[in-house]
Amino acid sequence: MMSFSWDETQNDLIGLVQTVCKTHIDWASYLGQEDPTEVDHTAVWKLLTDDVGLRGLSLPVGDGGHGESWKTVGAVVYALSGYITAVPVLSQWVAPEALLAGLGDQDLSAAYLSSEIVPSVAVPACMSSHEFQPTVKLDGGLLVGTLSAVPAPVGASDFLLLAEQDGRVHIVRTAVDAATVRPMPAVDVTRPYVDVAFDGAPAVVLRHGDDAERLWGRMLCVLEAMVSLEQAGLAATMLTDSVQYATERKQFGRPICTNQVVRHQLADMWMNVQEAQSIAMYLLNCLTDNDPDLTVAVCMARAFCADAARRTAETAGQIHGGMGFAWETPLHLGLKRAVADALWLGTPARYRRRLRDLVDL
Amino acid sequence: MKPHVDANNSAVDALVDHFLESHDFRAMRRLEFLNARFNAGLAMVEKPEGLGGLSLSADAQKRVESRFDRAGAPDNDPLSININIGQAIPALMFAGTDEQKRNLIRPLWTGELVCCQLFSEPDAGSDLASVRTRAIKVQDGWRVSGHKIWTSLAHKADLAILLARTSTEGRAHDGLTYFLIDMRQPGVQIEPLRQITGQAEFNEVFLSDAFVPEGYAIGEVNGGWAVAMATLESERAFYGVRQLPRESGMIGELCREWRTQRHLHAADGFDDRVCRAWIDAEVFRIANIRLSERMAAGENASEASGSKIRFAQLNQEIAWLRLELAGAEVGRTADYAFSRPERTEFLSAEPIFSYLRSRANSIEGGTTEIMKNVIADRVLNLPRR
Repeated sequence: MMSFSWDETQNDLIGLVQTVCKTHIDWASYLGQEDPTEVDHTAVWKLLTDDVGLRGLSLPVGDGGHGESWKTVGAVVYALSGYITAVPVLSQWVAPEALLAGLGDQDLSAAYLSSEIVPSVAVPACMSSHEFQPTVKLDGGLLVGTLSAVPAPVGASDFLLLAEQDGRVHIVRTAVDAATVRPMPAVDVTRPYVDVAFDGAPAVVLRHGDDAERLWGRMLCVLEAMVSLEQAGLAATMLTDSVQYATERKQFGRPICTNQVVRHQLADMWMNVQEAQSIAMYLLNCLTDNDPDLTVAVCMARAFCADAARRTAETAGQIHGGMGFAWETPLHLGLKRAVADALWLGTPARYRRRLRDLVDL
Repeated sequence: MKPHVDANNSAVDALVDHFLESHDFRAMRRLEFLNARFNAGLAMVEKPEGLGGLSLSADAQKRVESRFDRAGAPDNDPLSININIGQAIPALMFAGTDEQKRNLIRPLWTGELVCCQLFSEPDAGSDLASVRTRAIKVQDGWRVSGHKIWTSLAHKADLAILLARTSTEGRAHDGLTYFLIDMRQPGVQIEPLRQITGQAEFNEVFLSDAFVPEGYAIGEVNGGWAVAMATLESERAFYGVRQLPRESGMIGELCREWRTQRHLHAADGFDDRVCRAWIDAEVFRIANIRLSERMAAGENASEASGSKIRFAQLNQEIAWLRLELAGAEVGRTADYAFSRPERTEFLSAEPIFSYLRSRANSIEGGTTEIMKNVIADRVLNLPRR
């Protein structure tokens, strides 16, 4: 029976992750600086992967991992979503572990677990689990081609990517150093992207053919579920911040939350949060249980949570009034994350189009 | 509260099977069968023994229902007695005496007695606490006079749950009492109230010295507000929280119509709108499954208010899409003839009826605005001053 709540272990993990974030991330003082240095959360990421023990969480026990379910991974992503961390949780943890678990290559998993290699999955922003065409060619063991807007390989040693040879897809590994990596400006500075060009970079083939296609599609499904959860968690944080602000902020001699219009906006946000949590959790359950409804759930959750997170962030800005438009208030980080998430791995309109095909509308 | 007894699925199935073996519904009158089912504790299994239950978990009830359903056994047609199930029984469970529970819950569950609701008044709608219908204490009971409105199925009902003023002292909320009143007596006059669909599901009820005997107040005298609030949440849950399969209800009608007519609407932009409605309906359905899980875990019952709001919005949105899809020809199916339906039907094959009826969804059972107040007050706990 599907459950929409976290179990005890998952709740404990959520608590641990939140404690790390609360202790080490202080956006308000960072944004208040006149000439801030670049955002650097590498220390937080190290605490999470090494001390909290995220690295290997979802890898099979036989490969040296902890064998935890996607639901537990989801609990971590949900916990992180409230803090807008600049950590590569999706591209260097969720996605590589999804691939490694499917590859079952013990040497590669061991290299990952010992940090001998730090893989970053090079997913172009427009890819989704139902549309992924390789843009890079593999010829004689060498890669040629470009990838547009992939997650920045912050501190990563290797790219895992999709390449094409003789009309068949291949999942390959190549050194970050062997590629030309150009940073690009991003909506959400905590989720930087790069353009990558390959001009004869040597690559190791990890899988090819139908198996590679299935595995890459599965990895994208995992990412889609995690982004939906992130959107649901983000919406919940936007609501909590807005409730607190509306309770403290006084105008006309009383807290603004005593106005019925503001109360009703907050009630609307609350409903949106409940719905986003429900559908994201439904998708996470479908993923964890390999439910046949998975592809439909992906489309529903991606279309719905994108709008729910964005709308919630927009309303939060409205409730914060002028302060919601001020750089020094961390709220805009949430709005920018909501925008970036909504457009990553396919837009809401694209998922609705796919859903129409799936359910015959 | 007594802890629920755990019973696994097969044990629950066995209880139903055993009951069906010893009670052949084909050879029994419906009411006789339902009485036996109640007495066996298979009516509402989460309730205590003697009150239609066996103190099992609420989840087991779904299992019981589907087992009876699969066997083809008659049920109590809960949609035709929604005040019994959604309000009167919860009110009795919440505040009734042992004697009231013992005498009334069984006939309310079987539908032997049909109950309607006498709450709203012309001047007490959203502001329900301003009820003016008076109940004056007399020997052996009360005499009730006043004007009630928006009463569904009053003309079919045997009795009513009634909110009446027993005191004018103190705050408006503090002088109300929750009664059960006999609808079939000379002091009760019922007039149909025609609505924009042409039908009259609702009635006005005029009470002139109608009699309520001693022992028919539920809860404390002057303590009716708490009983009404506790049970209105059940009504909201009744509207919202029902677990149905994908494409049930209004969205199912829209999908059927869309699939047969979409070739007529190429490039009209309907496809994305139908898809959005489909997603909204599905999110609503899944959010309700999560909500019932939260209710079973004892979370804040006021959360059901969100479901009531969305139910109305969804119905209204889809009802209009169906009209737009049908175009001007839809007028041919308009039928505003006066009738007094046996039950409340939100859904109809006639898009114009569904559209007009859906307009009430955001008003009846607590307006959308009042529901948002409930969320702000009791879920988000926003200070009022």
